[in-house]
Amino acid sequence: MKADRAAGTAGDRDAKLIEAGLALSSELALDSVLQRIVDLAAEITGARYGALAVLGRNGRIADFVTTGISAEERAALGDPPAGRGILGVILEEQRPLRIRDVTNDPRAVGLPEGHPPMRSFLGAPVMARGRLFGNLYLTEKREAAEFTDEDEAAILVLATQAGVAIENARLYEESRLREQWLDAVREIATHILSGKIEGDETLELVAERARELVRADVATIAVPEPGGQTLTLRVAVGAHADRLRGWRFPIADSVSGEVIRFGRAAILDDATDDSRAHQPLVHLGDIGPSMFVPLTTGGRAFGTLAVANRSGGPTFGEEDLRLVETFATQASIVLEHERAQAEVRRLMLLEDRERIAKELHDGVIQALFAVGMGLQGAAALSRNDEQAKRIEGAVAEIDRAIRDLRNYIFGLRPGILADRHLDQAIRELAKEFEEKSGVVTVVDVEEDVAGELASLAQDIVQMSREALSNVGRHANAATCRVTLRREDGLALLEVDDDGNGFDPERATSGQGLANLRDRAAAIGGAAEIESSPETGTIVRISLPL
Amino acid sequence: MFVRYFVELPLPHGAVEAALLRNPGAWVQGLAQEAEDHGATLLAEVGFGDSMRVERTVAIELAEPIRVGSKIMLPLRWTAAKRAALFPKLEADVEVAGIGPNRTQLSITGRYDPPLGAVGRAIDKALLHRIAEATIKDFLDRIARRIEDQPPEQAEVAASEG
Repeated sequence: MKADRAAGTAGDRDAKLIEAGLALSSELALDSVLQRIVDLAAEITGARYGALAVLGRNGRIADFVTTGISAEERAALGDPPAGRGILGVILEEQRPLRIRDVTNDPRAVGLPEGHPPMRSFLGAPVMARGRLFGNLYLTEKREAAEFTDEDEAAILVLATQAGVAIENARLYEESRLREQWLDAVREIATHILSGKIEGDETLELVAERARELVRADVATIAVPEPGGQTLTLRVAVGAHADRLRGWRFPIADSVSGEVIRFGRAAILDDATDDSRAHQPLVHLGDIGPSMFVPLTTGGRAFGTLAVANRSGGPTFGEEDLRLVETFATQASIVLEHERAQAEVRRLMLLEDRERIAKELHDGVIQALFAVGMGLQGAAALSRNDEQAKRIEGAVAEIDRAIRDLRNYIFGLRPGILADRHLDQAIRELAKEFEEKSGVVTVVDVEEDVAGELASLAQDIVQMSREALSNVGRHANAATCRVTLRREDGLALLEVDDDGNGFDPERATSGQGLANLRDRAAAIGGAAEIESSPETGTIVRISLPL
Repeated sequence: MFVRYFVELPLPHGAVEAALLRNPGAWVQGLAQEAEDHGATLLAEVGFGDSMRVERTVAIELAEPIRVGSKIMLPLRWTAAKRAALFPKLEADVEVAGIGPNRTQLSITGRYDPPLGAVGRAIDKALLHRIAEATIKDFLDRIARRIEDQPPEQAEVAASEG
């Protein structure tokens, strides 16, 4: 509605205000309510132009509703006013302001290019129950040089009605948000309690609901790789999700790294301004406002849940932070639950192995041993050489069976690992590799670490074999080193060579790298590859001790 | 060939276990060598070999101890440096199992390959087996004595460390 006529008598004015109140109460959508208020304010006071600025949660103008100018004229003016000058005075002093000629007022900061000329001014804060929501102002009274006391009284009534409308809308929005939040929390909790949290489905759900509730363009969950030097974006939803998912980056010199180090959330108004080198969201180049919240377990931060908007999108405030923190807590629970389940499975496996080993050792082997000893005695007593020979053959078979069972019980397998310690097995493997490939191979194994990893010996030997096989097939290396050492509470198996190197981003699964990662993950560890044509390749496998 | 022997020690199971597993690589080799020398002496007495050998003739490899139920096993491999030895190869488990609050069974269960070549052809198998059994008995008795000789407080410390 255009402000093309002024209300006539005081009675007309009162009638308009009553009508405005009724109209306001019948509207539900806040945008419509605010437009109606500005239109009515201009109509009642006879103003040529009117505007209502609504502050966002971050204290900046989030909505700007006008009357008296066309959509094209409005668009030509560019961004809404920043709330300085005369408008800032209203917000700061929170009282009505009436000026005969705004162009002469020393507090004015001027009008943008293309803005219609304005002289008379009447503004009032939009408030409800002591909370400031914005301001309502009118300019260029049509039939007089300045606005009147009656106009001021009318704008106060309308500003108050606008305040109530905005507050109601906010309360409605908050209750809807709370309802959505509760639904999301319930949905995620159901997922967790169902025990079906394998893979990334539940974490994706957490990230998606966090993104929806704060209306962000993208959300990511970063978790650490074993070794603690690298983070991986395990989950990404929304904009750039495919590009972000699986992105691995150093924990040092990244926003996530800082959030983990200090255990405190970080809110960036514009990620493109961030100088830290290694944050995928920063690297994208078109991400502006972002928020990083720590994932914690046992009071220790280990990862981040981040939400972000494209450049120019709304910034995040304290209320967004509180919401995302609840989702970060849930993501932490999911990850901790996942870790605990893996530990339970590992323990169950160990328990099973222990039980089977006990039954085999105390039952089958003892029985075989007794039979073997009996046959051995029978062979000694036999006066028939042929018979004794046959009995000895049977004893030898029993001996072989016992040997196989012992290998099984001790978690050993035939081949290079049979009856050897892990460090010996790695040395033997390296020696074999050197003889076959001609690559000079050095082994450096900390024996106590090898001892602690005895139960994983088969996997470790297999991963070493796989890594050495890659060196032999692809690296064209002259030397190679296999090390097993303790670092930051983890065991670190490294196979590094001085060969051609390659671009890990372009590596194909044919190079066995996927196998290494899968095998490492299966025993609670992780494999990472560092390679370049200048420096050769390092396969680094970190394992829990 | 199979050999088995056991002794009972008047000590708690934990103390025996701790004493056995306390850096066994440092002392089992020496006891095995002494037992091998004992076996060589027996062999010499029946007309084979030389009882005055001074060089190391046996190598012991120890694997990680394995717990099976309430027992602990220390697997070992006994490899002779010379083909003419009593055991070219013996694989055995030294086991510790409690049989009462202050009584523990220490046992050895093993399988060995009889000697090949001239010694294997010349020596009576039954006699060789008796000497093998005597050698294994001697070896386990030495381990038992070492465990018993260890001061109780040291065994307790070792138990708490384990």
